[in-house]
Amino acid sequence: MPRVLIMFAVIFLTLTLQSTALSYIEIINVKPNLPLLLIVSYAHLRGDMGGAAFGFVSGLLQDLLFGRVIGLYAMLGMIAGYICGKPFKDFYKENYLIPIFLTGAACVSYEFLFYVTYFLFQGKVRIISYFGRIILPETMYTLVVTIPVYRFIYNINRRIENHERFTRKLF
Amino acid sequence: MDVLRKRLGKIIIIMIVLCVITIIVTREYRFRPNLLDNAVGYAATPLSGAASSVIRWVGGVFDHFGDINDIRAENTKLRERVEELTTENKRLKLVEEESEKLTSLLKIDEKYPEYPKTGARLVARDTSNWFSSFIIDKGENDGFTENLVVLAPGGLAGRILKAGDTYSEVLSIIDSASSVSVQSARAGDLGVLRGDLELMKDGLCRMDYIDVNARVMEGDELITSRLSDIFPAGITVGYVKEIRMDARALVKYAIVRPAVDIQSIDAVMVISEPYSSFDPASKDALTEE
Repeated sequence: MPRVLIMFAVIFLTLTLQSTALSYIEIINVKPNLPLLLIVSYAHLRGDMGGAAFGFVSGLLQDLLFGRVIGLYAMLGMIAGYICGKPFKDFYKENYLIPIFLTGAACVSYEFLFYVTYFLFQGKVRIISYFGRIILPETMYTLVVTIPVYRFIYNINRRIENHERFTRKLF
Repeated sequence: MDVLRKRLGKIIIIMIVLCVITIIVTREYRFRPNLLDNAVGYAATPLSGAASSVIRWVGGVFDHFGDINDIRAENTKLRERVEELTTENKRLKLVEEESEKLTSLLKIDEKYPEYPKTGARLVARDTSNWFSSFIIDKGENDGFTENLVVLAPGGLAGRILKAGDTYSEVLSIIDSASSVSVQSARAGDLGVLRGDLELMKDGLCRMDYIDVNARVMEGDELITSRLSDIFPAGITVGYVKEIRMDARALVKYAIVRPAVDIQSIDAVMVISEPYSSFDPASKDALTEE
């Protein structure tokens, strides 16, 4: 239960930051995708089920607050969490290279899917230009902030896991 | 939990299908914010508002330290002065800064005195890089509804996309979902101002469907036309930056720099009555000007 509450608070904090502070540190008018970064980090630490649930909840909140339609961010977040949580048994969690690689791949495919589901059918087809102007800079910028955010989630997760181990011994 | 884990793949697929359905439904039928939206809005709006003001304050502090040399020089002078005077001075400076911002907004109010207006502050911006919309701190409780027109220092900023109880989401004119019927103030040529995904990142938008024979030129002021049901006529929208010929050469289009700097607004004026509710006589009077 503390895990749910803490992660909920983290999501809320991230969305608040994403919608307020991050527009002040935009580079070429693009800001990093913190919610996605959070989903990828969490999925990497907790596996596919935790990742999918976390992605779905944070996506749904984003939908309700800022979405033009309901369900788009939720769907993409869930897919991202599920896929990034798949190889979770195969990697050490202390290694920073895996989350960086995962984030890069996830960010490009997330934004590409976002474009396909939302914009492609509106007749906006200049995909190469959008890739260069939006997707690529966003991915680069997200990669820059990957390590601190991953460390942050890693520490929170370790504390919760310690706490959970402790409570299980009690009961 | 184990059962859940075993069937996770299937659950994911079912959830994806559900999401696709809600996407299609909410896309077709522009939804009113419901209970869930409003609950989230209630929680998030004050939080974002607080965060925004903290960030503004921090920005102010950094600006302060940026001028540290000036401040030192000023400080030696000020030391000789009476303490009360300096505090008074600082207080007045803050007030002046605030009033400068609000005066620019008031100018807009004075420019269009015909319309009843309400001020609002910006609390959050869209989270993704694909849209250009923002959230303001007033909603249905203050009488805001969908499609109300939003002005900012300079001219037209956008319109309200959805109004919750305590917040409203504003669609800016450079968002790719926005379209505004405009005309050139000098030549009277009509066109449709639309946001564009590529131009949005430069803070620009485009004016489409201009007649090939139209006399609109670079630097022309664009105002809202009288054809729209949402936007009152005669509000400054932007200035033509460049005119281009369409590849098929049947129409022209123009690159437009909006009169409002969308990326850096922090207070707006909302015309608090829908244009369609103005009575016909006053509407005629407005369009004749």
